[in-house]
Amino acid sequence: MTPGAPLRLRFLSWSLGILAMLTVFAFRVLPDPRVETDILALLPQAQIDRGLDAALDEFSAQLARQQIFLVGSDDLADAKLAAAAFAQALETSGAFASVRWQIDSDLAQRAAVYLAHRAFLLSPKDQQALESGVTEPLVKRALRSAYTPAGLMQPLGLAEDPLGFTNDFLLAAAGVDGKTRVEGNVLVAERAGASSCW
Amino acid sequence: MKKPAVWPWLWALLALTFVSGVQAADPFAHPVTNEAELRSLLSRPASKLRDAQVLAGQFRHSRELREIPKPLIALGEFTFARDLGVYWHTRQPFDSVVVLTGDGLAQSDEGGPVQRISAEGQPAVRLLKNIFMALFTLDTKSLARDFDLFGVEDQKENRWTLGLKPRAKAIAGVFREATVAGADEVQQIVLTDAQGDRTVIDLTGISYSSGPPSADVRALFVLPQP
Repeated sequence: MTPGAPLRLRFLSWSLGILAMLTVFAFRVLPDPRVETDILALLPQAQIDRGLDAALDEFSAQLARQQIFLVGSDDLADAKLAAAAFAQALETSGAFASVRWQIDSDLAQRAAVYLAHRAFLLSPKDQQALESGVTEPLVKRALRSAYTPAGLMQPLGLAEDPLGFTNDFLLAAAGVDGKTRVEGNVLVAERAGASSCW
Repeated sequence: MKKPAVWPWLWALLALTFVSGVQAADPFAHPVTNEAELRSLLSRPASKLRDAQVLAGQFRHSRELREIPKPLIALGEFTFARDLGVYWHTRQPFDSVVVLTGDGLAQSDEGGPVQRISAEGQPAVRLLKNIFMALFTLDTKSLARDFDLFGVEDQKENRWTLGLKPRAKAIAGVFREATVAGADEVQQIVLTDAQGDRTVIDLTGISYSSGPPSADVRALFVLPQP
């Protein structure tokens, strides 16, 4: 063996190693280069629910772009008129992609962002019931929706949500503390003698 | 000589009779344009309802769903107290009580624990209570405010039918259209939802009380704590 043989062998080994790394880089990293900031990505793969993450991202993005204004007056009729005028001013300003001051669509449309991901949605109460195996109240709730006027209060019809899981999620999500009520097509809140429209 | 064919004429006559019959029965073909017209249409039940503070009777509640060939039928008793709300006691096929008041909704099955939804936490509760009270007591002012109204009177059968289409989308979420029919009193309410499913409520044996609600009636509307 010549004196330069070990050196050549080492050079060849390093070259092969670097070539292998470059190949991995070319085929695995370059096609999808990104800086991973998602802390959940550090968890084992089984712990991550990509569908849920996508739903939450989409939902947060939609809500983050919305702004809510309260227009109030001592008199509800004045508050409604002022809210309508304010909404019109916002609309003509062109500063917003859309302005809504009345409930102008049915609930299926309004809840579309949830319905697209309904397989991942459970109210905390239902989740607890399913986890603990106490399902009798869920059966009774489904029967009550089918046989009593309580079913009319459900956002989704019996055919769309026979067990009421999505309905319960929507009702829990829409729950608000305060004096809000629906009057005509407008959400109204009254406080200290003044009425406000949303 | 060949006899003239009579069958085409008979068929045409039958079709005409059928079409005119359907039109007469369809209240939505006859808009009610003012409150006076509405009062005239509902004059007979209104005379009973005008002073009534409490109505009580039996109901037959039938849900007709497109996906299920047979209707889901429930039987029971109801009480409407004008200033209190709606008490709805289903006896068959299972025992269930639903109480709707301005404060909220309480429901209990087979004497079990009471579940309560407050009207403050869920504005739809108050909306549903207002709709129910307006429909069952034929509150013309409230109906004319919230609905496009239609109506037809069948002189031969001595019956009237009122058609309602909600103006507000918030109410349209509960039902797309409704009909209330009766003679001297409200006998049937039909609610059709956005998907075309129907809820048919037949009322019978209605009693009216013009005095203030008794202690027993008041007790029905006390929402127990959950």
